[in-house]
Amino acid sequence: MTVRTVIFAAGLTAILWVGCGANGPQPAVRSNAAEPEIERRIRYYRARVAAYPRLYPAHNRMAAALLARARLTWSPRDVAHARSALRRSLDIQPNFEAFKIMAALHNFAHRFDEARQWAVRAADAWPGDTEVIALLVEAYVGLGQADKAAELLPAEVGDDFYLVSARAQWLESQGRRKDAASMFVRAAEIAHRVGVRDLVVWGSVRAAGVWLDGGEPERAQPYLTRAKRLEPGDRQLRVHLAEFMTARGHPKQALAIYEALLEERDDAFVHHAAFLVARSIGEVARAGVHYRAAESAYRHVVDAGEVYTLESLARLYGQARLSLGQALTLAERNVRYKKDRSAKETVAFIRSQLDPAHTL
Amino acid sequence: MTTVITSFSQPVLRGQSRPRTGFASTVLRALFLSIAMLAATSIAPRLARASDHGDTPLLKSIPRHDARMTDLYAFVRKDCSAFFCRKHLVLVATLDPTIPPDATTYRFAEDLTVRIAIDNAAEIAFDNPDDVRNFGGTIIQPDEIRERIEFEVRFSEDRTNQPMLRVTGIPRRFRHRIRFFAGLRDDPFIRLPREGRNIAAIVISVPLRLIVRSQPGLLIWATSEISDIEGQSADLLGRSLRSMFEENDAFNALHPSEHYDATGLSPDVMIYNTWAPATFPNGRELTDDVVDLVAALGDDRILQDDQPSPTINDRPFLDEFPYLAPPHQAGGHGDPHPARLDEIQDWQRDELR
Repeated sequence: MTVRTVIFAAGLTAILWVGCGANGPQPAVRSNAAEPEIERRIRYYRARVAAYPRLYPAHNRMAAALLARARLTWSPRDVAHARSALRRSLDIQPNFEAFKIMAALHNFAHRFDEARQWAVRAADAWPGDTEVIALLVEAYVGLGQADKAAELLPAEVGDDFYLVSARAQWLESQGRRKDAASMFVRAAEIAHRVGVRDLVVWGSVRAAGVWLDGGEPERAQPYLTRAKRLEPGDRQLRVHLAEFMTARGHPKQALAIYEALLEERDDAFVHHAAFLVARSIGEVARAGVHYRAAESAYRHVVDAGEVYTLESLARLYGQARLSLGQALTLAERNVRYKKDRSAKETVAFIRSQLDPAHTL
Repeated sequence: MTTVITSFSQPVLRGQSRPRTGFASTVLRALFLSIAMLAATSIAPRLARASDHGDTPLLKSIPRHDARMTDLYAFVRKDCSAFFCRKHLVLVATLDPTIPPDATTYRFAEDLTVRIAIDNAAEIAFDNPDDVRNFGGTIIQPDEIRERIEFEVRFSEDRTNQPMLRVTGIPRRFRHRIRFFAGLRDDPFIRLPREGRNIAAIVISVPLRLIVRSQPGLLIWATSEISDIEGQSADLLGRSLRSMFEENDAFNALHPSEHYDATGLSPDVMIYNTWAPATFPNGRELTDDVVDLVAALGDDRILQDDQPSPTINDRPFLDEFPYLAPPHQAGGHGDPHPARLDEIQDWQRDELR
């Protein structure tokens, strides 16, 4: 279980908002070019709702844009504002789109049970929408109810990008790495057929991530190579490349990649990963800087009443062997919201740090 | 039936009341378009259960479900007073197939424009059996189709969300005879997936003699338009179950006068010979089960993945205006008060001609 896997547990949603207009809301699919676009949308919809306060679709779109920015910044303020915009939309007119964005927002926020409820309402409003099915799968996986997620997926997912990606995520949750990687590759092939390069990169990177998580970096390499050929600047690709470098025994190169990413934009997850790598090569001072930056950012989210960094913060403490009692509290609180394998492993990991006799 | 017209940086090109297509000029736009195409490819069989309930993948991706047109109906009813009866042409356009089942009211977006257009002077022949069977007739000069009568519907921004109707092509002195409704109703689409579901409906009733002049044949179509930073969109409805299929998607972005030149196919408009009873494809009655009727024409794609469906609507239609059944779970009170044209004359005073 890598830091990336823990933090990006709600990975599928990343692709969903591409289809909804917010270009690649999460590092998993976005390119740097999308960032100004997100800001432009936020400005546009803010003005739009000011001019037309009852135009509920504009509230929806603003929420989607805020969610897209939250995926970049982890800002609990953006999450809160997105939630508020959706509530305003629903006050004006109950509508499918608000239900769907609510589901995505709550998946992002690791409030999977609420995400499930919103997705069910969306499915009631417009049955059969594969994007909603994918959101439901994500929610059930987050709730540790993989069997229910499986029931939602048809036996043959065909060429539906959302269903293929959802199945890939489900397979990954089941530890079926080979099948999951194949399914992510299939998603990339679908994206390739319709000429959506960002999603080709996304599918390839996710396939690589499956093998990196499985401790087989050499099997990840072809996918990373493909993605690099297409979009060398993609942030999520570079995060995976750093992991690949670490796994192949090149931590200094990995650290250089992380720090280059941080020069472009501050990012709690990258600080966290950089801390681990810096520490592993004895760069204590740099590790300390990254640790503090990651802790501060994670803590900021928790202090704002959100729960989507509970697990990351618990892991950070556990990995640093600091504040272990607090780490256990955080990890145990986390499993009230996020009940997947990763969340449970985090609790076990913290316990093992507290009590060396406790084995993982 | 629908297409989204996307334009980021370029102004929307518009002819006379015609939705036109902008151009994808950025990578982002291409991305949306591609995803939309992807979605269209992957979900077409499922969406094919309804006449127009979902053939706007790009519109969905913008996403403005509230602007998605689902069905268009045109039929004649007698409107009787104590002394005499008058024939009225009734036009029904329905939108937004995603209204939650528990919604008891409906607010139309104030940036939405819906138009129902009529060409009452187009030359239509009824001597080609194939065309009559498939389209209701043959349009002799498809490139000369134009909206000689048009009903444009918008909605106020205030709390009342008052529907506003602008009429062109009907003399002003007759406007008080036009009846107009906009609000939540039971979806008149008969098939099972829409059973128990509501729809946003626009109903216009106008004396037939104001519409039919030199000849009984009418061409009717409806469009919806919205404008947004994420794209300009437009949706077109003509004959049921045409533009929803991928090969006919071009119809949605073009004016009907351009359909033939662009596709070589009969334009996607509803042909209605008002001297004959309305029954698909000659106009469309509320009771027409267009899925079965189109399947009977030999196009059974629509039946794929379909379940046995009822052949009558789940709620009885009304004998009087607005003819559609009241909405589900609303007790018949969930819709705004029907607006009459004469109640909104201030808005349209300068628009009527």
